[in-house]
Amino acid sequence: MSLTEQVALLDEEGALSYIKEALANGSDPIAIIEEGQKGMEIVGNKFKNNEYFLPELLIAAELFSEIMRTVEPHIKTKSTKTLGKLVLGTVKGDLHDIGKNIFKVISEANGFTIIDLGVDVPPEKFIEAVVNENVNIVAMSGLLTTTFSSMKTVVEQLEQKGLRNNIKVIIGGAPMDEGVQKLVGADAWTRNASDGVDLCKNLMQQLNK
Amino acid sequence: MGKTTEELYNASLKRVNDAIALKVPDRVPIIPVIQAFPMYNSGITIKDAMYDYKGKATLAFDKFFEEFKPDLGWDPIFMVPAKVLDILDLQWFRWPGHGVEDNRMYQFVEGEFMTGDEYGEFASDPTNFILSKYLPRCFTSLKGFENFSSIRQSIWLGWFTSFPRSFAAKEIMDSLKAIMEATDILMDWLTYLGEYGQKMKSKWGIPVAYGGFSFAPFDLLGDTMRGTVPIMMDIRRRPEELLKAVDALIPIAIEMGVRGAKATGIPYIWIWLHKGVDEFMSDEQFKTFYWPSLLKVVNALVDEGLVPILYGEGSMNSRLETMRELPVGKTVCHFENVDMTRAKEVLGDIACISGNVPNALLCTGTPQDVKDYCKYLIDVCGKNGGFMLDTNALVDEAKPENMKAMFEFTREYGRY
Repeated sequence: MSLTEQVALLDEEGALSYIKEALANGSDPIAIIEEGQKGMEIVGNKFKNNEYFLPELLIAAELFSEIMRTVEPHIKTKSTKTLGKLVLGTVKGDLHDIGKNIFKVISEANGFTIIDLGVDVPPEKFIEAVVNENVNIVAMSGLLTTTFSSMKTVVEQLEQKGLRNNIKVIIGGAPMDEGVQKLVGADAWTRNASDGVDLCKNLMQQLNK
Repeated sequence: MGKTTEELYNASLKRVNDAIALKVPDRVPIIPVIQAFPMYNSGITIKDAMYDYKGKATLAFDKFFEEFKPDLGWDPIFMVPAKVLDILDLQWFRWPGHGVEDNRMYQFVEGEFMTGDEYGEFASDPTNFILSKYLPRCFTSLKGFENFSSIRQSIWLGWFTSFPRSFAAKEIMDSLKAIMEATDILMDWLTYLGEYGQKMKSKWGIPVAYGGFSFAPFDLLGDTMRGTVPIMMDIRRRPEELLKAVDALIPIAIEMGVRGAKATGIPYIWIWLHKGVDEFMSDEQFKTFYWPSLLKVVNALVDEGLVPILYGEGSMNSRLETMRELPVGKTVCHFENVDMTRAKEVLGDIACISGNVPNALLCTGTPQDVKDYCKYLIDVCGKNGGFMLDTNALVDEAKPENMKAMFEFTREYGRY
């Protein structure tokens, strides 16, 4: 079985012993990671198609972290290939992160680079990341209605600093809808991690035009 | 119309009970679950309400009930006494002054309070685990309770050494002091809530919404014991142990509901459903790990003459068909992000449906938007009774004019 298949089928033991053997035989570490990423992409698609659910996603994410931990020390030059760079966080006033973390797993599986700021993130931290890290998309998560004003503040600060036009903003979480998107001034909204990642792909296309 | 508060109270109860029994009431009952809204509506901070329930919380809730007349009302129970959280040093909440700003709701935070290796230990003796491991981990002031792991050795001559083992250490005295101090406040608070409920009845004719709370056994295990990420992975990695632990929690979940109802005399047992949502587990996983034990709890509560209110949080669109196994005309199914037309189609002959005016709409929409949404719910879900109007989640922020629109429109348009 290839590494891609092992990751896709959540064969943790198989994947890790395959990698150890491959590295010992001098295989290219970047190629190994890319094979693993293809497996993660399959996992992401299975999640989208309701074959895999949260248990499978979490096990795959843990497996992929383990793969990265094992392989990364062998990489001599860093690959900069990415679909786009996102800064992600649950906004100030909210401590929930399960949904945000699901979104992170799927977006990384799809080739996005994620800067995860964690929870209860004040607006300044989002702005800092945009300024310092060359971010394409600001992705804000929230479970509570109390987050709407925090999200609005982030967008307002992006506008004030003249950053808004080169950035796309997406908001995600159970209470999000079109009304909240309008209130916040975001470009997209989602309640579903898979849809959120698809929306981010569209947003990247809009940016690259 | 000159009705006495007793008449209003009885009319609301009849309205609600008719809807639950899948009959047609005089109008659609209005039962939004109210959390922080009274504080936001009155300029009192959540911190003040949590530290001063007799003063500040009372002011906020009195103002709410002067303005709004639901058919089932929420007393200040969600304004838990913060002093108790301080004394016990609870690990899985953050509250105003402890990780959350003064005017935001307290929040649950994830933690692993039972490890994956402890499944056997828990299932074979839940009380020992809860007493000597779970409680000290969740409440750091109760660290002394770790000594209680020896208590069950107190049979025959065992007590000569098990009593010292359990009670000698200084830290047990500190923990007992902490729990007694917390208990004094909790007793005062529970008495206050009982009195507030009486006031709701006599002053405004509003019945209290809850008799007790319970949880799905899977959520008892997953919410504050294993934690979300560990338990979801246990589904794949430790399925047999997980099932044993879930089964061990069934009697505990039943007890929670029954005891609550006995103490209050109110039959409505609210069961807050968390991890059975659409994306979290497959249909097969739901039918194996989440549903059967929950159904057992529901049936046991119904056998005791109680009314389980299954408060679904999140989206449960894929669970509706399975929920047809519920006992007919005995439960309420609240939905958050669910296709309500389909909910009525699939479950309308089995359970009273409730929900799902979006909280976000109450925050960002206009009164007309809110009325349009209520009209949809009343037309589709209210058909032939068996429906109660609720918001999709506990109400914190909401524009007062939108809340008014929800109440007034439903009172008028919801007449049968």
